[in-house]
Amino acid sequence: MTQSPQPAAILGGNRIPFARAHKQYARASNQDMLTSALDGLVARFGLAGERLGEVAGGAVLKHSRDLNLTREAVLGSALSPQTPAFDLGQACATGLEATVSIAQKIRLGQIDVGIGSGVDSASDAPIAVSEELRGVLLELNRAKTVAQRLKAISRLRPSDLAPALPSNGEARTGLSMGEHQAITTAAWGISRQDQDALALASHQRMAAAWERGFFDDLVTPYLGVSRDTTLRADSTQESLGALKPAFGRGLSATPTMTAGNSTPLTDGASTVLLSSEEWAADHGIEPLAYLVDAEAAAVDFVTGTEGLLMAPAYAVPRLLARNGLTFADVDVFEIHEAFASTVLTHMAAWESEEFCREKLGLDAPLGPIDRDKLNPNGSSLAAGHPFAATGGRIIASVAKHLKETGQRRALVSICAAGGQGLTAIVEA
Amino acid sequence: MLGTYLAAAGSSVLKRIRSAPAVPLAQVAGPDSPRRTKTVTADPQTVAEFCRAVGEPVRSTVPVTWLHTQGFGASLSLLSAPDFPAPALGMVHVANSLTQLRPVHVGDTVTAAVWIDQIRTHPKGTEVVVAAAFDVDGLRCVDERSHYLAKGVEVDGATPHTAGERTPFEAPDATMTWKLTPRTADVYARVSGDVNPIHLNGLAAKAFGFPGRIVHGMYTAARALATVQVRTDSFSWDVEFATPVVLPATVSVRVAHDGAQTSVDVWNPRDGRPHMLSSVRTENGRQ
Repeated sequence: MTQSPQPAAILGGNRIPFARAHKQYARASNQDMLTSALDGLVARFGLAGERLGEVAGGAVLKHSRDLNLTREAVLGSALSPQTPAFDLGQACATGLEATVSIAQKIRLGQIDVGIGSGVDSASDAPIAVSEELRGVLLELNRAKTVAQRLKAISRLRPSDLAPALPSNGEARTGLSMGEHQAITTAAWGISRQDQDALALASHQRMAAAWERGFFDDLVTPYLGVSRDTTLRADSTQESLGALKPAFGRGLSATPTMTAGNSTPLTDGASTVLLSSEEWAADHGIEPLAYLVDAEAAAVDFVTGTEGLLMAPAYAVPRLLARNGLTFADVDVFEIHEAFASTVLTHMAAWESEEFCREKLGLDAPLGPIDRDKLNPNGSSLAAGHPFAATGGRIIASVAKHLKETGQRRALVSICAAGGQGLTAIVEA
Repeated sequence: MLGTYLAAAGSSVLKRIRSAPAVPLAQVAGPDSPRRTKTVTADPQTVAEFCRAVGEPVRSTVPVTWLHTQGFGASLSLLSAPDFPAPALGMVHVANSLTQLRPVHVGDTVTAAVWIDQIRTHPKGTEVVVAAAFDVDGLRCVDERSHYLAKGVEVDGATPHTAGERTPFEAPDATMTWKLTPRTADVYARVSGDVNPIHLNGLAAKAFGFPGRIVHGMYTAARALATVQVRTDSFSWDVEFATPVVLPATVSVRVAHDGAQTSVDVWNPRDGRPHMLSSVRTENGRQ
């Protein structure tokens, strides 16, 4: 590659409204939802029959048969069947990683145009046979003699026939994400009131954005749903304050995390269209913004050294430093609300002199974030969080927000299972 | 192994009725006591099955917890020998400690030597220390001491010993949680060969005074060691068993690093009582 990177423009996005699990999209598969989201994007930008450079996507809760989920969705969409696609996975950062991957290919001149996408269904979840039954079936498959077969079958017990449901527990700790975050929340002393206030702001801002038509060209109705169904415009500090704690009940600290300040299980899909400036000009599309850079981080949560969802706190300062930026240079902070307390612990960490010095190796804390600049159109607490679809939702929304407000720069941050985090800079 | 247990049961019943023949303890325990040796090849498939059961990655090295299972049958037959002065059945595994000097690799031919290292007094009865040494090509790889308590049994001539206080334990906040089911014990019994009925049969467990089937202590220990992800060639590992885990159970776990030492504690989240306390120590502190 001899030429210097060219800008990767964000042209727009399309998603289906996010719906609470086991409701309206209960019978739609990941492939169904992703195909619909792609088709909405194709319709919006007149891409029917077009061969695009590549489509990237993925899902967190994935059936083993869906090895080529994104390619299958492309084949089922109105795009040219000659459009290649690939799947990737980085837990809840999957959608953002897919978008970043497409942006990097564009920057390197490998492709002119592509789509970053993500989808997740908590309803149409994969169900597996138990580990014991699987072991017996595989042993039977390997057996060559009757005696070997009988020996394998003799291991089977009635309880082995019970199916294995997907677990939200971390593979290495067995603790759910909520329980992990409850430990971090307690360690940082994040109050219930602050969490509820952040959740309330998320609902209010997203409701206002829907009201003023902000999502009209970002969302295509699906299966009779035209708005995110977990959004509660009528939430109040009192109604949120009345909810019982859902996580951290086994800890020594008073539990503060509720169903109201945690994201619900959700179904949905999102897509983002990116291209070179030349491709955009040729197609008469004005870019909304540019995906400039990205930085991933990971933490050692297994030993309890760091909180499971704290990786973005490490990625952001590295990303800013590489780009010669400080918080003062950022107009919008899009911090994925896995839990209200995740956002609040990240912000507390960046304000903490001790954390910034000891953990980040900085001379001074990054400083506070103006709440008016934080998630201006609401985030996952209001929209819901179909894991891999969240990155696409955020990138399309924040790009449009920059265009609409004339602001210059946004910082995007998403925490993910496995102690990971992915952050990105979007500029007008 | 079931046969060994049946023999152990038989000899234990006999010893309850009539004391074991009085032989000098030095003939039963100590450096000059008889050794049982066993030579076994660490079959990659067999070791892999064990690894899958206890959460160890399937690698080219053999976990020390698998080696333990290879010495266990010999130790059980030593404890149930006719001249052994205490009944084997009903003995409780109270502690285990070992040092790995160098790793054993799959495919290696391992010679396990097992002997009774010591029979000593204990406030609640008699403590038996079983030693096991694992060699490959004449080179010592692992040295192990397993401590068993024969409750309410007094043995003449037992070495006087002041048992250290149990490590005090106050349940901290958990960093992990493990779900254990009766199948956990079935699988561990299959891969370890330890088919003690207290792990596999509810009625048998009740007969020995447990509320129900209990998981193998060495399963809990093996899983704890797997959690630490020791990646140095040499390390030492100490385990103290407290209350048994009655199945099914969800247990709380805390992993904590402190310099060269990593501890893994497992307890009952309902009453805060410890099931097992363990620690791994490496030379340079980097697991």
